[in-house]
Formats: sequence, structure tokens, C-alpha cells
Amino acid sequence: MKKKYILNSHEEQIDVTSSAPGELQGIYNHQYFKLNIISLETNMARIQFMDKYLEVSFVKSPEGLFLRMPSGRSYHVTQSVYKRSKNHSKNHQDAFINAKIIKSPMPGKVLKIMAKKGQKVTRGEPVMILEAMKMEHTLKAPLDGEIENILAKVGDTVKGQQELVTFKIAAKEVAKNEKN
Amino acid sequence: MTVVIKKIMIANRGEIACRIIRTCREMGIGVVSIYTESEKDLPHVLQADEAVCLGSGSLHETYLNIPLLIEIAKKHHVQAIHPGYGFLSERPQFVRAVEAAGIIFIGPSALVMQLMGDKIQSKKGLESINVPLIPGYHGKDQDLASLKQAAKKIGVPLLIKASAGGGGKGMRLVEKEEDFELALEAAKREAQNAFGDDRVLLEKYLQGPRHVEFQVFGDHFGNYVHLFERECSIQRRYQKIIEETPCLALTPELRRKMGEAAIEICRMVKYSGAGTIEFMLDHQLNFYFLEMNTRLQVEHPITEMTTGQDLVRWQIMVASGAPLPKTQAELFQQGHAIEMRLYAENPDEEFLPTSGTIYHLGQPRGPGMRLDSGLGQNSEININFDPMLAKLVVHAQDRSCAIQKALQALKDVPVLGITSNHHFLTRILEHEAFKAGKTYTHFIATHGPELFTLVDDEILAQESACALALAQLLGVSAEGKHQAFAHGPWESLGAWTHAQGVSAL
Repeated sequence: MKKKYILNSHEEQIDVTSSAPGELQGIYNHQYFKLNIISLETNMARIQFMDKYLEVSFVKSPEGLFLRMPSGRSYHVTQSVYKRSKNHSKNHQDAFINAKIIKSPMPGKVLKIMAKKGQKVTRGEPVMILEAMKMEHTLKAPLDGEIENILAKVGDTVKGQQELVTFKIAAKEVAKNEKN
Repeated sequence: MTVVIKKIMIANRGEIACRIIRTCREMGIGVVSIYTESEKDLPHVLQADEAVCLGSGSLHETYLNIPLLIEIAKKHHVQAIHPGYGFLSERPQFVRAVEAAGIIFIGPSALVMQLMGDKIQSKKGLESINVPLIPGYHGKDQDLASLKQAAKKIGVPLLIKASAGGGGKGMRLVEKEEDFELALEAAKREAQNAFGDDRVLLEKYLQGPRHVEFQVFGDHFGNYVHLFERECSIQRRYQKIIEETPCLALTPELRRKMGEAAIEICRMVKYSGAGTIEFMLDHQLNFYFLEMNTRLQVEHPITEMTTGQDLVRWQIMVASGAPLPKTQAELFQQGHAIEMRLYAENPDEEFLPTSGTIYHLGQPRGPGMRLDSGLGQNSEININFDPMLAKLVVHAQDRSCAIQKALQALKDVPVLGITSNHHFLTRILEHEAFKAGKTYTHFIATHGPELFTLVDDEILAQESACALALAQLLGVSAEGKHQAFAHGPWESLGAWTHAQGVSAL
């Protein structure tokens, strides 16, 4: 039986082949696995995963299941796409890959705008300064290009992920991106 | 003449307020806490004897509102105010207002605070007692031409720092001369916003530096002691992340010399209460005075663990007019202590602050472990306050045992529900260079790539399979907030029924 979950904002699937209370066998990523829960406390599960014994911290919350593995990495599992303002990592990366829009990385205030509409900028050139958590964050041009539009003004309070600057990308950058 | 302090108001919140409450309890002193609308269920409110709501305005209308705080203190008849750290703890005008109201300020005098808080003035004073200073410019002329010329003289790399600053705000590193102007502009603006004062100083950037600070104490009788050093080299953007004591680089001779220099500074300004003298130590073991913090530091627990002293108790005693509880000869260091600061930030996204709810923090389960936190059940973390969530502190017989214990303590305190620097702390503690004691202030910049390196795909896939299988067995959601309070294993078993239908397959 196939089960879909959202694991750390990515859709993942396991194929459960056999299951009993506290025990599960299945296929994930073309690999067979078997997991037994040996003991369970409020926020700690001792499990046997294949031939390994592990202690996993977990909490079930209205926002899904949060886990921390013995390696120290944390995992977040939900049933469906999870919407929360802080979970913007994917969008954030996309913005950089497309490199056409600078979005505010976090809620803050626009302190200074160094670039003008229509101005040609080179990669890494400071475009705008945001203040958040009493620290300044310089937003830089992600690629060589031209500033198409500036969507905020000095003193504006901006939300996380708000679009701030849009670009026209220089042709050579487009070519470079396509090659990659 | 000593005053009997029966009630203290804490002009702070979070973990430090809870820390102060603990000592007040031990000493039989009553506590008045303050809080804002959104904090009414937090431990620093619930643990107090009396708690007063400051409303829901900005920081200036609440925790930084001096007239309001004085009014509350008077109304509740407190004998003393403890400022904690941050907020008003280093504002001389607050000290004056407290004292004008006939209340004891638990800390140094306004005059000393003003002197040491002004980095330009404090350095000038120190030149007279031969405390070594980092080559730099601490002049009055703040115009671009003067600063540019001074920068040229010092040479790159150099640091621009806010004269009134602290905590990394208004600070910029300049590696190339042509970057100076832009960096100066940013530093001045940041300083103006954070401290209302845009004066800066310039400093030579040292090679292979360690940040080594000395905990000092003075009383009203001219007694001064130090409680040894803390090494706080593991920093990012000048914010400390991991602190330890003792510092591996110090020989007994160097420790004695630095301690004496620290005490000399206290003597010069007739310091009273708890303070910290920060030094930079370069790779040739030259030490330079950096600044003095005129308050209890965030990282004070590691000193408490290795010296066996309660620094908040010391502060209250000194403030009440009692002499220091110990002489220098009676103080010694035992074992090794490490503090890890858990921050609500995402190391994978340039350490941007994160917000959300902490559904499970955890509790360390072993001797020599201490968790200082101001969080309650399901605490909401928002970006209005400092992003530090908690401090995890361990004490063991030596450094390598302390590192092992620190890693175990992190496992006991998983911090679930919000993205934090938890795993990043683990990566630092496990790093060979950290284990070897190569802790320089640029540790994170130097080893950054290794600290972020993703593990191999096989382990990642295994962990993902584990997470998904557990999601299937335990269920992923708790209905309503109460489920997160699950009282025992049986309640959290609820969703196992999910799997029953599948076993027939």
C-alpha cells in the first residue's frame, strides 16, 4: 500500500508491505526496510531499524510530526503540503535560480535602496539594505542584469518572501544558466 | 551598612529572569516579574510572586520603558531591581532613575557604566594603567576623511565597531581598502539605529585570535576578585555560540597575568558588582583589552559550574552592601564546562531567524547538565525578542569528557517544532578542529563548508525511511494543542490504529 507524506517540504512515498502495531516493513527509494518500535515514551521512541538500534526524539503537533534522529538532523513530516511563513526555503532557492526577483528573506524594514529602476547591475552588487532583528541584511544582485522594477520604498515594513526587486537578466547570464 | 533585600523586581524576561528567580528563591527574596501581553504563560511570569503586565506595545513602550518600570517598582515596594542582560542592563540613565526612586540597582554605578559602555572613553582611560590595547583609532574626529586616513594607517584587515555597541551590531570587517567606505556607512547606520549613537572606532583585525574574557567582581569596600576566564571563540557575526572554561591556550602564568590586568581595570574605575573584561588573545599569546561588559553575561553558568559559586547571589550580596563572599585565594577552577546557545535560526539559510512553536524542548538527564530556558509548553517564538531559545550547559572532569557530555545533552534536548541551530551545534562539537582545541574566532568561517556538509545519501535515505515509517506508525498530527501535552506512552500511541487495516495486505 502506497503512502504519501511531505517530508521536510518534499513529497515522499513509502510502499508499506506489511504492518502490525509497532512494526512496519516496506520499500522506500527502491530499498526494503523494516522498523520495530521497541519502547515508546512521551517524546522518545527506541526503535530497531534493520539491524540498528536507535533513539528518536519526536513530538506530534497540530503542525505535524517533528523528529530528531541520533545524527542530530531533524525531520518534519505532514500529510499534505504544509503552509507556514517560515517554510519558504524552496521559494527562496527558486528565486535565486530564476534570479529574476529578489524577495525579502524575512520580515523587516527597508533601510536603504542603492539601485534605481533601469540601472545595470553586476552580480553581487548591493541593491537594497533591510533591517531585521536589529541587524542589517544587504540584498545583492544575484546575477548581471538590469533592474526592472523596485517594489518597495525606504521605510516600508516588508513581510518575509515579499517581492522587492525584479530584474531583466543579461543575455549572457541566461545563456550560462541554460548551459548549466 | 547592609540593606536587607526582601523583594526584587526583574527588569527582564526569558531565561535570565528565570535564572534570577531561582537564586531569589534560595535566598528567600520575593520576585516581581514583568511581561508583555503575549507572554502571560511563560515561566518567568508563572514562577514570580507578583507579575505585572506591561501591555502589548513596542519594546520602548514595555521592557525599555524606564518611567513605567520605576512606577511598577515603587508600587510593589521592591528594594532592588535586577536588570539581567540586554534591555536596560547597560543604560546609565536607567541606573540613575532607579537610584533616584530610592531603589538599589543590582549592578555598577551609572558613572562607571557610562565610562565602560563608551568604548572610546574606556580605552583612553586604560592607556594610563598599561593595559594592552589593539592597534586602532579611538579618536573623536568622525568625519570620513579622518576615519579613512586612520584606516590607512592601521591597514587591512580591520574592524569598524560602534563606539556604543555590543553584540555585533554596528560592526563590520573590512578586508580590502576599497570596501571601507561602504562598510563604514553601514556600520554607522546600524549603530545609529541600535544605540542612537553613530560614532565608530577602528581596530586592527588580529590573526589566529581567541576571545578570552575574565569574570570579575568588586564590592563597595575596594575588594576585587576574578573568577577566571571563559573562552568564547566560537562565534558567528560576533554573536557567541559556544563558550567554555578553562581556555586551553592559557598557561597558569598567562592566566595570572590576565586576571591581574582584569582586576587592575576594576580597581581603576572602582567597579562594584559583576562585570566581564573581554580580551583578545592572538596566536603568539599576546592579549589585548577589548571591552568591559558591566552586567551579568549570558555565559555566566560555565563560571558557576567550574568555580561552584552562584554569581546572581554574589550580585545581590554586593548590591545589599555586603563584602565579596570569597577572596582571590579562596577561588579555584574545577573540571571543564561548556555552554551551547540554542538559537531560533536556520543555519542552512544564512542563519536567518526562524519563528514558530516549540512543541518539545526536552530536558537533559544526567549529572553536570543544566538547561537555562525561559520557554514553557508550546512556546511561540516570534522575532520581536532575542532569537536565543535556551542555553545548555555541561560540566565534566576534563575537556574531552565535557564535549561528550555536551553531545549527549543535545540529544536530550531535541528542540522540536522550530528550525534551530541544534544540529549545527552538534557539528561543531564533533569537528576535529574543535576537539583539538583549535578554537579561533574565525572557526566557523574557516570550517564552514565542513560544518554544513550534508552526510552521504545512504544515511539520509535511511533516516528518511525511518521518519516516514514512524509517521505511518505514530500518525503525523495531534488534534488541538493539548495533544502535544500527551501524558504518557499510551496517549501518544493513538494513531497506531492507522496501520491496522494494512496488516491484512
